Amino acid sequence: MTLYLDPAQIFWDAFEELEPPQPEWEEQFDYWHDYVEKFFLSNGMKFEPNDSNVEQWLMAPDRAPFSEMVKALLPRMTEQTDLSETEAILFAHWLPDLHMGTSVTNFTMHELGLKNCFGFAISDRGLSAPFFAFDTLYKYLSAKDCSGLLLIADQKHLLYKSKVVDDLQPRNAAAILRLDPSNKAGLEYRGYKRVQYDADADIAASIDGLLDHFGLLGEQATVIGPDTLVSAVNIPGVKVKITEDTLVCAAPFAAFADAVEPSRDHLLLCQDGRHITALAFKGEDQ
Amino acid sequence: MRLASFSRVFPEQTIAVEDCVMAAGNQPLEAKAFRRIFGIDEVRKWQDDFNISDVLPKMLDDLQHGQSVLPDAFIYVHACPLHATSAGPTLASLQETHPFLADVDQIYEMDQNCCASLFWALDAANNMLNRGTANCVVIIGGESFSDLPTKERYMPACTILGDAFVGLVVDGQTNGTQISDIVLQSTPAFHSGLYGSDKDVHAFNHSQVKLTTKMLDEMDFDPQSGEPILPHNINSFIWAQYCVNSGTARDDVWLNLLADYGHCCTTDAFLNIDRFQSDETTDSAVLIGVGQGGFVGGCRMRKPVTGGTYATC
Repeated sequence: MTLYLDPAQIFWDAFEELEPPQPEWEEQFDYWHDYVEKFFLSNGMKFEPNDSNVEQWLMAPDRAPFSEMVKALLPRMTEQTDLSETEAILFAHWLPDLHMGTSVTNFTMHELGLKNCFGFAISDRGLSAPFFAFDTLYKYLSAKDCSGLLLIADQKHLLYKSKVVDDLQPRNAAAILRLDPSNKAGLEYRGYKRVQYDADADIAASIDGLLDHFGLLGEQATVIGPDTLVSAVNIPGVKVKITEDTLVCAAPFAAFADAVEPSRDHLLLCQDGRHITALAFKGEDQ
Repeated sequence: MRLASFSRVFPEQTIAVEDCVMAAGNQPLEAKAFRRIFGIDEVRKWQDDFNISDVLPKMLDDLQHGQSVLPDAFIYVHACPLHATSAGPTLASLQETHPFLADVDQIYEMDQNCCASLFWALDAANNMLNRGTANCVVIIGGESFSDLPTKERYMPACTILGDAFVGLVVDGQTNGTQISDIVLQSTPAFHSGLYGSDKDVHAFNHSQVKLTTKMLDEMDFDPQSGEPILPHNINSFIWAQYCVNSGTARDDVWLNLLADYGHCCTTDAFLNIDRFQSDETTDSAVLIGVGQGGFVGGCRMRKPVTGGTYATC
C-alpha cells in the first residue's frame, strides 16, 4: 500500500500547566513515597529515600498528563478532518505519563466517540518509539484498508529522580498525526529502518546509506534529526533541520511539520546510543 | 488450544475482613455489613517478605508433571503494577535455573489489562500457537499484596484483595481440555484505569454488572443452559444482580472460593479449574475477568468427548 502523508495533518505543541496540583494531594505524599519504594523493589532495584521525586511529581506548577495534551491537540485536527472513521490508534512515548494507569488510546477513543477502534501503546524503546509506531500503524492500516491516528507524548515530571531526565530537561510535548490510505497527495512513505554504527566517523556514511536505501535523492532531501547526527551530513544539496531534544519523542515530527517542503524528500532520524532509526518520505511530484 | 497442565497456590495465613476494614480506619460494624452484603469473610496472605521465587519453582514442578514437551514461551501476568519481588531472584534468573523453562526463548510480562490480564495472556498464547511462533506456552499469573499495608486490600463497597497464583501450560494439541471462545472487550469510557479519581472508580464499580452481561452475551452464554460460570470474584452482590437480571441460577455461578479467599485479581476464574475438571455433571464452563480500565476478558473451557463420556485431561 502506498501511503501519502499530508503534512497538514501533523499537529504538535509544548505545554505548561494542564492539571493544577490540588492542596489536598499533599496528604498523599506518604502513600506515594511508599509506592515508589515498592516500585523500585518490584523492578529489582535498590531504593534510597533520595530517589523519590514525589513532591515534585504531585505538586509541580507545570503538570501536563498525556491525556490532557492529547485533549488539547485533538480539536485542532477535528476542526478540519472528520476522525469518526478512525479504526486504529497507536500511542508512542519514552518517558512515563504523569497519570499512572490511564489508557491514552482509550481516552482518545472516548473523546472521539469511536466504537470499533483498535488501540495500542508502544514504549520501552527510547526515542525510536514513534518511528516504530508509525511503521506498525502503516502495516496495520495496509492490512485493514482504514485510517488511523498516531499519538506521541512525553512529559517532564517523574515519580523518581533520574539523571537521564536531569540531563535532558524534557518539556511537556505531544504530537498527533493522521495516517489515511485514501490520501492521494502528500509525501509518500518509504519505510522504517534501524542501523547501528561503530564510531562517530561512520555517522555520515550511515545517513548516506539510509538515503540510498530509501531511494531519496541527496540534492532534494532534507535530513531532520538531532544535532549529533545531522551535523555530520556533508552531501551537496542536502538540507538539514536540527530537532529540539527537549521535545523528546515528538521532536522529529515537530521539526517535520514546521520545516516541510512538500516537493523535497525528507529523512527523519533519531538516535539511541549508536543506533540510528529512520523514517523516510519521498517528496511530491517526483 | 489445549490446557495441558494446571497449578494453583494459596498461602496458609488468613486475614479476617475485620482486620482489613479496621486497618483502613473504619469501624468493625462496617466489616459485619461487608461480610453480609459482599460475601467475603477472610482472604489469604503470604508472609511479609514473600517473593515469587517462594512459589514459582513448586508451581513449575507441578506444571511439568506428566509433560513431555517443554514450553518455549513464558508469560508472567499480574493485575497490579507492583509485584512482590523484593530481596529475591528475578524471573530471568529463575528461567535459567528451572528445568521446565530450559527451552524458553520468549519471556513476556503483562499487566496492562488489570484483572483481565490473564485473558489477554491467553489470547497472546493462542496467537503465538496459531502462528507457529511458539509450540507450548507456560503462563504464571497472580499477585501478592503481602508487602503492602493491610488497608490497601480493602476497597469499600466493592471487594477485599487476597493473594494467589495460578499456572497454566497451553499448546496446540486437540485432545484434553480445550480453551476456546477467547473474547477481549474494552470500554474506553473507563480510560482512567487503576488510579482514577474516586468518582471514576465509583463509576466503574457501578458498571460491573453491565460489563459482565456484555461479555457473557458476546460469548453466547445461555443463562438457562446450566453451564457454570467461573467468575470474577469481585463480590457476591454483583453476581446476585447479574443472576436476577439474566435469569441465571445462583448455583451456576461458582462463587465457592469467594468467602475464604476474597478477590484474587486476575487469577479468580482460573482458581476453579480443578473443580471444573473433576465435576462430572458439566462438560464446559465460561470464565470471566473484569479489569479496571474497562477491560473484560472471557473464554470457554471444554472437556474432551471420549466415546460418549467426558474425561478430564
